Amino acid sequence: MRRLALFLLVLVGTFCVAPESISAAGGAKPSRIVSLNLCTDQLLLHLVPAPRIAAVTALAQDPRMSATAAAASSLPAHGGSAEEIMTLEPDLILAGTYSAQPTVRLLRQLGYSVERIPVAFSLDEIQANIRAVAAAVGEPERGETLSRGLARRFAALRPGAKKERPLAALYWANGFTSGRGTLASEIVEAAGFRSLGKELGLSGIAPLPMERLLMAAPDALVIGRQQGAPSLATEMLNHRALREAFGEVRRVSVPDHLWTCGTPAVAAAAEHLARFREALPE
Amino acid sequence: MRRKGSRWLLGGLTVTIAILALVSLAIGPAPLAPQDVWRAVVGGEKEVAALIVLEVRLPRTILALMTGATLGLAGAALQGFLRNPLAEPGLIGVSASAAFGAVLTFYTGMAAWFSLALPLGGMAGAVAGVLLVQALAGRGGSALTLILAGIAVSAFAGALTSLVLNFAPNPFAALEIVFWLMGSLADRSMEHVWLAGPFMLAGWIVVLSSGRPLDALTLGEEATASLGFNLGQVRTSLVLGTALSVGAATAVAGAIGFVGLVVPHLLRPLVGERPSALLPASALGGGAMLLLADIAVRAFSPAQELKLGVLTALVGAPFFLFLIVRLRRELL
Repeated sequence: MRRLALFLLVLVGTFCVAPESISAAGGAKPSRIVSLNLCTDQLLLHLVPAPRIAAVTALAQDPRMSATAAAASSLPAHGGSAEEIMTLEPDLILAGTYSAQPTVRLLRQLGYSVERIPVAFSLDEIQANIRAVAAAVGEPERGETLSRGLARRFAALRPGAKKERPLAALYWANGFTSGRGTLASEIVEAAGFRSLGKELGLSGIAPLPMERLLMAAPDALVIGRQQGAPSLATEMLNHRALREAFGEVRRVSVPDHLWTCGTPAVAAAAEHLARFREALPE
Repeated sequence: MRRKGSRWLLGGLTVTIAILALVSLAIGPAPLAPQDVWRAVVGGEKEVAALIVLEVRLPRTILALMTGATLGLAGAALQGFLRNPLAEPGLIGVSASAAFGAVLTFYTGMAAWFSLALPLGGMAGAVAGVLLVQALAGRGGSALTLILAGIAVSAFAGALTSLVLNFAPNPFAALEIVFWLMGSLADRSMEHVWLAGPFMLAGWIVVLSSGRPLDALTLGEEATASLGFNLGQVRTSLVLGTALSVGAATAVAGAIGFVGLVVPHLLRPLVGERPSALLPASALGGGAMLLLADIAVRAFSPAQELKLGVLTALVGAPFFLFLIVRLRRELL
């Protein structure tokens, strides 16, 4: 028993000590960067030239999910397992705060340098994330430019006077909506709408029965773009009651890849929504 | 005397259904006053209340009624024809194979460009299920072999359903296994009523027309033949009618178990042993039971609705056990 404990102790010890040398050498910019998360993939592709990226997630190459799919398609993709990441010999690993926690813990124990980027729920947090990734990859000026450009596009949206803003209902698969503290609500508001989920006092992504949505009689319905493959979850977004209540002119879909992650692409989602708002009938 | 009693029973069930249907239209997450609901039903103006009542609550009320009626009727007919008290679309695997047929057409996108593919898939699955169980158990076989065959077919169809959904390209599909195996009427629309309703109606007519041969069958197969009924014909029309109605119902509501078991057993003592009287009573009773279940899932778990099959199994499974205990001597 004691011998086993000793053995384990030695084993753990070797893991903790050995790979210090793998970490990036001080000063030089990381040049074999691996990202473990769809959102950090996209920020990385905005900030760093492709040759310095060792691999991104397979999701980053899917145009339905990723706004930078074209750029990602020429890069190697990984499946997310720790073994695979180690064979890539990365000198910097970018990960989300929630994603792949066991993998990240293991990689950290093995001495890899892992930068964790939180999920962004607002424009400010997107800008903070851009700066954080830019600092980690050694490109602070590019980060500053990107973040300022994003802020400028949002400032140009002219949302109009607060009272006159139309009410928009965000509606996702399975009858969920976005309330307080969600990126989608923030973007809808930046585009000049009031968000129904927020006005109903919901926070986060919360279920909203179709009856209650109809009862609130919002001016517009904003849905995620339905993917090609059918499911009951997305079929309900096409329910006849919603079609009758909103018709074609009061209903807009935003492609998922523009705003599932807090990246510069959210500006395109906001501009899309602002144009839709201007075209709304009185 | 019997005849008069069963007329009273049918009348009572109809009144129950009418009351339950009104409750079903009045209940839901949107706080609508009863007078708003009433105005929506009679007025038909294009206001929000009308939209909620006519496009959200009405389709689920109609589907609960029709699906329940289908299951009750199919249960009574199968019990009469197979002369087996445990026969029921859910237990003998017809519902599960219908769900598999519907899943195949829905998730491959076939139903998206040809909407009738959904009920047709459900019906094809149901036909395959009935025929398979019959081939495995044989008509008039013991209750035990029928149930075993049903378990095998159910398990296999359920596994195939899960398999298709796990490999479906839409990321939500895997979460929808529960819908297809347990059934639900949440957010169904009038389109589903138009899609499945006519097939269910047609199935009912076919099944109800076999009432008299089923009466004869209680006296045995020779007696039935000597009374001038063609057994093969009776069999064909029951398989067809069950498959039409159960297949179409399952295609829009998922597989809902035990309604077809419980309802005929509860009503049989009230109508006597005549299947021809039991069939319409079971249809009405099934409709009432599923309406009640659908009201209950909305009333007790409004945010994340319980699946209908969970509720019917909670009531039906103990009932099934009770039947087994009663039948034990025969089974052993």
